[in-house]
Amino acid sequence: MADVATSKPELPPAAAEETSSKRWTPLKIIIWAAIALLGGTAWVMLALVRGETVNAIWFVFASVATYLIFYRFYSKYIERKLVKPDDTRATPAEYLANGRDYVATDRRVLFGHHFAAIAGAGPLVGPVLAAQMGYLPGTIWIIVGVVLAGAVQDYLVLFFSMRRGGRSLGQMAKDEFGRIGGAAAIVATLLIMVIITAILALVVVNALGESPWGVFSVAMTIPIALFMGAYLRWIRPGKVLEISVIGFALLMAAIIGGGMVAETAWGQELFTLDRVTIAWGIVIYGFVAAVLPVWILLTPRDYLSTFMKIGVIAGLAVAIIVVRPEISVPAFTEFASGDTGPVWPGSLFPFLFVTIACGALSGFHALIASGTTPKMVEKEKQTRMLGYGGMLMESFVAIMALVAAISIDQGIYYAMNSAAANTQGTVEGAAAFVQSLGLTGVSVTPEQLSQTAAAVGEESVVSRTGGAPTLALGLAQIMHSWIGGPSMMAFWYHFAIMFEALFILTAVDAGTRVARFMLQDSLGNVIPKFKDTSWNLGAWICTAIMVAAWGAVLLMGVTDPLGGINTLFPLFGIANQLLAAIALAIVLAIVAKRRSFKLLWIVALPLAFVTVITVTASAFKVFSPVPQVGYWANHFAFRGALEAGETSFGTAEGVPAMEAVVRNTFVQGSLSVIFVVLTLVVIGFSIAHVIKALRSTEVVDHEDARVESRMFAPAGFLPTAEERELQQRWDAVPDEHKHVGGH
Amino acid sequence: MADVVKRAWGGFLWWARGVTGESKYQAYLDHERRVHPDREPMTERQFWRDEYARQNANPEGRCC
Repeated sequence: MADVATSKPELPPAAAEETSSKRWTPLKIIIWAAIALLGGTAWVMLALVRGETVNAIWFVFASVATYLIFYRFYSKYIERKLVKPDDTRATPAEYLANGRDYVATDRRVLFGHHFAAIAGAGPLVGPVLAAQMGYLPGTIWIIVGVVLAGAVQDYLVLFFSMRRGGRSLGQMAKDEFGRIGGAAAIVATLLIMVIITAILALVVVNALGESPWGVFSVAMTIPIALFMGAYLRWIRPGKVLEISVIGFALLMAAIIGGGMVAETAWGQELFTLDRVTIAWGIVIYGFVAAVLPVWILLTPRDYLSTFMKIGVIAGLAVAIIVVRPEISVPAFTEFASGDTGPVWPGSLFPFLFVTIACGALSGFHALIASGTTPKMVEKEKQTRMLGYGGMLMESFVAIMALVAAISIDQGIYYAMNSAAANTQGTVEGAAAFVQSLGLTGVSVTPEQLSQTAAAVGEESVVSRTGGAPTLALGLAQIMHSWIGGPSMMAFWYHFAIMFEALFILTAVDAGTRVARFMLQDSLGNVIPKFKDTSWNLGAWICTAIMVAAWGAVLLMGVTDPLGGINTLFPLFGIANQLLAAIALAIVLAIVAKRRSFKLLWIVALPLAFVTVITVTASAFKVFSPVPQVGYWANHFAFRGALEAGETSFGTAEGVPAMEAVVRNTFVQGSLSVIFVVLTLVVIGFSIAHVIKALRSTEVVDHEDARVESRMFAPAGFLPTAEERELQQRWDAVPDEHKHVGGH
Repeated sequence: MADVVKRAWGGFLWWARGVTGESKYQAYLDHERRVHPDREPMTERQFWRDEYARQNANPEGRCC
């Protein structure tokens, strides 16, 4: 077949033929066979060969080879059979072009942009905690989960949102399910955002508690951001790259300065803060940052965060390949078959799959994939590279985090990640606790723990839960063997803490703002005045409500006698996966209404899996009789003890601590119930719509009307021969004949 | 050789400007010239004030 037809005979076609990419040359066959062979060998090394140690390079080969194969074959299959993109059709960036948010953006730039929006601290923390079960369960879930579930979700949500002019997930839910189903989706999203923001903030609090160095350097990001904001406002507007480089240099100075400040007496006095104080600081900061105009704090911080994100992740990838650390963590630890591990309680199924959410399947991405990115896509076929490809990148970040976490000594790992109630917060207590775990070949001495703390410039590394400090230690160990040697260890540790705190605080600001607008929009249905987002009082009230909601959960976690992050982290994963279930339920209904029933399994498979995971995990959290696992079991156990007049129970000493446990488990247990009910409502709506679609014969689609495209761009990173040729023909077309739209 | 390095560096700068959003003003100018050649586009300073005001009213999530 010749060129695909367009309505404008004088223009070249807007879509390239896929001939060379379909042709199998001997060279291509050899390359793909080599990738398959390398991936297969790497999986064998990881899963079957049981040596003393395993080299980290196999994680890189296993993951990258699997990603490449699934990207080339599975996502292509989804594209051809289910998505059916049509490059002769204009994207919203073309037919709604306004030069502002609807801007056709080069695919490589948009990929970086989309990746910076989806990747954050999530894929860095979950895999660290999952390392408690050994490296293999986490590795399999991250890699298999992403290619079959996470990347599929991101790809499909991005594509369908793009076909709908860049509509948000909430609006799509309303279009597909009507008002009640849509409302359930929005309430669930709002609640989930509260819990996710709270737990991310808790990770920062745990990383900064009793750490004057960390507190100083992270606090310095505020004046740095203010300076950047002022520079862009008054000195050189629009010079974003330039100020980002200056900001980055200042950030490095803040890290180095933090080390000096932490050594002085006044520095220790001023910046050694307990965790409750830091939590209050973040609550106040979150409120202020969310009500101030974005140019003052939020946007400059986001520039820094983007800069750090892409730089550090690229640096870590190179470092892992250069250093190739030997891993001594076993494929499975003793905790993989039990349900009372010291890092987080619960059995492998289902809790491993909620502990690692980001990196394998992250519902939050559905909010991003239905936000800015769909408004900037040049060509429909690019959604595969952006949606599916972008998520594969995030998965690789999770693999690197896992490698960093398992490259540290296991004894130190358990000493860092066990609750203070178990370790007493002392090096002796931690050493004794690690001994009491009875793991073969795992032990740590008090001296080792003190030396580690001194090497990274901290008072102590005992019970630094939440994942961030462990990752920072792993990263510091890998990085210093590449750049700087032992004297740079403390710098790299604080560099890693800084970059995690930066992501998280950006997510906290932005999340609070987004949630505030969602709340205003929902309240506006009852009190119309709230719809006016420029009404200051309304904005402040809604911001205060959102901050109070996540702040309460945060403080609850910080003061929790049972260790906070250990009991709350499963809730984070459950919330994120439930959002994924909602997004997949919406996509399922859309696909059914397009009448592609034979391919429904592509969506139904991850949806069924994530539903089983989250419902089972929630059921465990609600009904499990094991107090470490079940919130209500714990709740009633502590209530019973209080009623019996006891003054200490389990690891909680004293009546106030016991009352706190009763209160916290009540909140956590209630949230579990609410989440799962709301999600089941949305899934119920979805199934009802699928059945309705099965019975009818009509194609129902809420897509925007088709507009012929008058521009061209290649679909993948590297253009094919036909694409290159077509591109040259388009380059010869004068600009005024290109693009259909414009407002 | 120097030419290759120069081109690679130029390409990197182009990419980084796009990812950080610095090239937004240029994209706006291109759009205005193409669609509204009759009206005067905003200056860079005006554009960025307006851009941040837009972002104030349309917050964008950042993932975890």
